[in-house]
Amino acid sequence: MGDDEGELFHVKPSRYAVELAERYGYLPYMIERYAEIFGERLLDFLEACEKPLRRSIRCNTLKIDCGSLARRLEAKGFKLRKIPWAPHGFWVEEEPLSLGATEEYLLGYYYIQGAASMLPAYILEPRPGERVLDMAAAPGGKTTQLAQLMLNRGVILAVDISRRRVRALRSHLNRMGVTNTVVVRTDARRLVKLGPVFDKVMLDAPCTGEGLIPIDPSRKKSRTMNDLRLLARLQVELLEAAFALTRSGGYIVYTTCSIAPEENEYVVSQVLENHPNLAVVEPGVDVGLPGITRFRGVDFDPQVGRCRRLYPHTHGTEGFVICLLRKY
Amino acid sequence: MPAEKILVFRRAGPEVARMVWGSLERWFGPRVVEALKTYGEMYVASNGWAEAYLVPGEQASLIEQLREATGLHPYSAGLFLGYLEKGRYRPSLPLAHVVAKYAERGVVAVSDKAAQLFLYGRDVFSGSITRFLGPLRKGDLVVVLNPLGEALGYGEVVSPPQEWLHGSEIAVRNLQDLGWYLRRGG
Repeated sequence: MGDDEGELFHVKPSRYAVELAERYGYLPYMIERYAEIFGERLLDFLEACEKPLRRSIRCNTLKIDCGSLARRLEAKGFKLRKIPWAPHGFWVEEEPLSLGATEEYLLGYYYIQGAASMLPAYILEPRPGERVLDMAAAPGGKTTQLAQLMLNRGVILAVDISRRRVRALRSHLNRMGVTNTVVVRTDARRLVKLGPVFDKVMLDAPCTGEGLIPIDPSRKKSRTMNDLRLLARLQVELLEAAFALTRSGGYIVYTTCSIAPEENEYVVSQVLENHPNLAVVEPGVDVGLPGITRFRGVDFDPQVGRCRRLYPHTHGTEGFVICLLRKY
Repeated sequence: MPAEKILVFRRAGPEVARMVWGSLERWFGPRVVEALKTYGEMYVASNGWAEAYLVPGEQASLIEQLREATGLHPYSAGLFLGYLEKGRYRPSLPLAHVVAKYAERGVVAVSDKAAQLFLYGRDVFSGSITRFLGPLRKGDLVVVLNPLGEALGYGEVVSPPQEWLHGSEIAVRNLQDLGWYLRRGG
């Protein structure tokens, strides 16, 4: 990390930020940063985070077609609405019984998945027959979606470091009928010895989860500025590993469920600086706001403007940032 | 199978393969085995416990590359066939879906209400059975289907059809059902 680290990771909250932090129950350093991200819409963001998000599901076309699934769930009293940017996604507008306890869920006909978190797999666009790496795969929302898009053909190497989470990953793979996936429990950075053997890499990096506040309000206070700095370092290392593992001409999706520029555009800029043969490219989706190119007086690589940002107050989703990179 | 301290994922030996294929053929008929054999080669993951998988060639070559470059072995791969315990084979839940497609015997379909109860770990009464692919003998392993033909899990025949007199006898004991994913799956 360069000199920018000092600028970015030392925040002195204003009195206004301290007051808002007290009113909404956040740590003040978070509000200070959100004020810069959202400007006039800061209060819209904070208010949106006070409300629960609509739940959403992704139908699993490895096992059922989406129309049949919708008819079965609607017959049970669920009210569904198509998510415009997610070909297999539905908002669940009425939920007469627990989404995680229906026969259709147990049969693997759908995955309960945040609407924004469906986007990274569509953006990576894996194809049948390709070799794909999912670097922080558990509990398996994105892995099962990648397998679905690949029609269960080709290979996914799904990696996670946690023993408990790998068990959950395997359980979801089995439930959803995924058979094209090799699961390995390890630190994904260890894989660089494999060399550039993957066509596509998904890196849904471990993060502060600052985008998940509407779902988990404990995140208003659970991460410090120091956590943010340490995570950014880990994220840079993981993205470097992703670069090393991708073949020339291949693609990487870097994504987090954090809205922090320090964990997204800054991380991508750091890695771009080291690799002239890596570029951020436009994702093929028509949703999200552009990435942030300047934050707290630090200029990021202008290419990160091609990343996509989703927020609860503008998209009705969890906060998410997604960047599509190509290795040349 | 001897207990091992570290995870090892390797090709299944002929004895294990014979046991797995033999069990599946005995329970469900040869078509299930023929269909599965086209999918890939049998592997065993072991680490104190042991599990069998069917792994297609492209996954097997990545597993080999991974082992050579990093020394890592997979936790799972391909199609999970089932558990190997004390010299016996027990089929996996995801396999039930394949069995339901190809089985020539060892299949029991139940009423909608019985299907719901089965997913909560309940046994099947003889009166709830709407059809079966037989012959069913006491002790046989069967796949249990809902009225739409979807596999819900496995049971053991505890009373054969000739003993189903009143409909209230327990005919199939629940061995494992999809509710496992909620109760234990994580």
